[in-house]
Amino acid sequence: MKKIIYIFLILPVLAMSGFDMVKVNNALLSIKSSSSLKYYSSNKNINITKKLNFTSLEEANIVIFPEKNDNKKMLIVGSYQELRMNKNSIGAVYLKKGRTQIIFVDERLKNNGLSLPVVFQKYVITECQLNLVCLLTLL
Amino acid sequence: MLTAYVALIVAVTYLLHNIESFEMKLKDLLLNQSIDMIDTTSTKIIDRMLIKDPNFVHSNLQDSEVRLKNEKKLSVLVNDDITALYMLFVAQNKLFFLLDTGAVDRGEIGEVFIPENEAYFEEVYKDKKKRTFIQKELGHLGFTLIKPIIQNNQTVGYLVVDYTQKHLSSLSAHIDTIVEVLVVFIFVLMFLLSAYIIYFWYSNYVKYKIYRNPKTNTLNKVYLIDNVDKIDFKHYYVALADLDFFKRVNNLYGQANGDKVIISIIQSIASQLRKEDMLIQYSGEEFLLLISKDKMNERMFQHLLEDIRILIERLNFNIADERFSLTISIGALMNTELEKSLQDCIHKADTALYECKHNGRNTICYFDMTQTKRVYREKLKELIESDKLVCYYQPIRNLTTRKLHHYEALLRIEDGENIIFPDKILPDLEDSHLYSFLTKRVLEYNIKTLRFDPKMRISVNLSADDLVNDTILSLLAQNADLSERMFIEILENKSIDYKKVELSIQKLKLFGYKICIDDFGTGYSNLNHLLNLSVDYLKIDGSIIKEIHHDRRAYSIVKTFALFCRQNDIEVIAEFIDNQDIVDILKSFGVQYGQGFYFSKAKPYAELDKEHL
Repeated sequence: MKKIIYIFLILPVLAMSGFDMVKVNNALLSIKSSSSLKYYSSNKNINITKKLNFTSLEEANIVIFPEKNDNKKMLIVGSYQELRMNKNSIGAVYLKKGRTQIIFVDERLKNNGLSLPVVFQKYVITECQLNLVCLLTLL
Repeated sequence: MLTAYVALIVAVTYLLHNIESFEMKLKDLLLNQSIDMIDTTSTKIIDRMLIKDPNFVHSNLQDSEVRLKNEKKLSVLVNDDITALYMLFVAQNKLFFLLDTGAVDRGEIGEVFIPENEAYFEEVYKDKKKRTFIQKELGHLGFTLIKPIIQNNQTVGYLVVDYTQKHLSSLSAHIDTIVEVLVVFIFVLMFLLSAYIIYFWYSNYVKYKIYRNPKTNTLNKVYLIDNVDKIDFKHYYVALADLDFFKRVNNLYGQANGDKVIISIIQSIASQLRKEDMLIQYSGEEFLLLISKDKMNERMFQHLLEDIRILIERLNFNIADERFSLTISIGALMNTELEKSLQDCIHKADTALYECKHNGRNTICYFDMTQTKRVYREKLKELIESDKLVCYYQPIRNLTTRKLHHYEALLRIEDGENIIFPDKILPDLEDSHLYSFLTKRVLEYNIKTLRFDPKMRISVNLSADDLVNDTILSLLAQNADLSERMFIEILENKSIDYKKVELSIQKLKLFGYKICIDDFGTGYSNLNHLLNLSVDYLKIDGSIIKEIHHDRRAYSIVKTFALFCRQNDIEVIAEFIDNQDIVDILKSFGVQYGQGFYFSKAKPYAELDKEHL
């Protein structure tokens, strides 16, 4: 069942054509870490820049658009719903209303020793903002 | 004109440079108009929602039914031009979905929304007014309307409407058409203006050529004719200057050398003038000076003219190893503000100029406003050309028999109730073409009278100049059948070049005309020439006749003339006979004919006694 959901969630990402890949690359490149970040994605379209260190699934510590949940790796998922559901995901890249949405969850970045520079803070939300009940308390 | 052109160039450059910005503004305008209906309707819907629910955002977040109702209400706004219509709320400077009318690609309640350009929302937040933005970054979208949701004077959220690219393209097509039309219009306007400017410059160039004498580069009479109404003559002093005896230069040294002299004189006059003054070559050697009254009083104007006169007088010309100088006569009018037109001013300056010519030339004469009795030449011309020219007739009688011999035709001009006598007009006409024109009119008048009255015998006065005038001679030749009844009196009041007139007199005598020398005994009378001319009559000047009975010199002069004429078969006529004493003396000298008030004053033809009939 989970596989079906994942496939369903990944489907929009497969198109890729609507993404602003420059923004996505810039956002991913801006992630700061004490250790080197190695990426993996089964979707070859995502590999658009040589600056990102892409490697095999085994060696990668960040998987973009994972086909299955991997508890050991950091994930960048393809939808908002997936971001909410999967606590392993540090962020999401997807299209909404024709706009490229790049979202990172602050707490999850920190848990993984990651951070984003100030200029990219617009992409960062908190766990509370992911939760509707919690979000109400912020108003 | 040049300023207008530069302004247009600047305007066009500015417009072309800012065409993109202009296009955007135009798009904004059209976009705002195109969303007008949605804006109005959505305002009503949202206002109702906000009135009903003072805690609008909370209610929608908490209650799915409220949310569903509101989404339904908003969905009525969606049409084919809209790809998405949704509502966002703000929390911690981030945007989250509140309502979404879309069935697919829906924003979940509370789902964060990262806008393509945050500045759009910042602008709407700042102004609290709706805005439309063309989605340049998003090719598949046309434009987006962002409308603030204001509750309690706070922007709590935004209504976002994404329009299709198709709708924008349709608007853009209109905008492109408008911009293209505008650009074409500007270029057409520029072309037309350029053509007009070229025409303007060319016509100015042509005018420059037409208005200037090519030899002297001075404004000419054509300029004056074309601009006579444009010149504000009341702000100028007017002077007419004429080079004295300039024709002699042309005759002696040739036209080319004459032109050199004129150019030199023009340069000298121009050197005395200011920028605001005008020098117009009125005719070959006649110049019109329009001297601006600005910073020049009458005294300064008089000094200026005197300077010009002296300057010309002192100029020396060397042509063909001969050295000569010229003088200039200037007639001027200072009270131009009293005149009705520039033409009137010129006429009066011309009158003053003629005064100079009579006063010996090389002088400056100013038109005297009290000189009202003098009839100006132009007015004279009108009078001469009209039917106001008449002749009065004074009888010339045989002193012994008192029988009428013939009448002398005497010129009169009837100007209304006034009768103008020749002595008032002839001095003004000397040296002008009007003089011979006047003679021609007098001749025509008398020819008509002679043809009307076959028994009438008339003597007509001609000047020496008339005798060498082809028109006059031709007229007399054509009417030679009247020669037995027409006497030609040649005026003796100016020096006659007898050699010149001798040939003409011989012709007239061949035609049968009787020749009489008029006013003999004054001026340049020469008995030897009298014999050479073979005249028929001699009229002794009236100034001598009227003194004959108490002046011995006059007495002996007339006696001598009478004797001379009797010995040479010349009949004598005495004029100015006032009394019988003069008649008796004249008879004793053998003078045959006489005229004067003693017999009769001159009368119009209608009032004559008709004793000749």
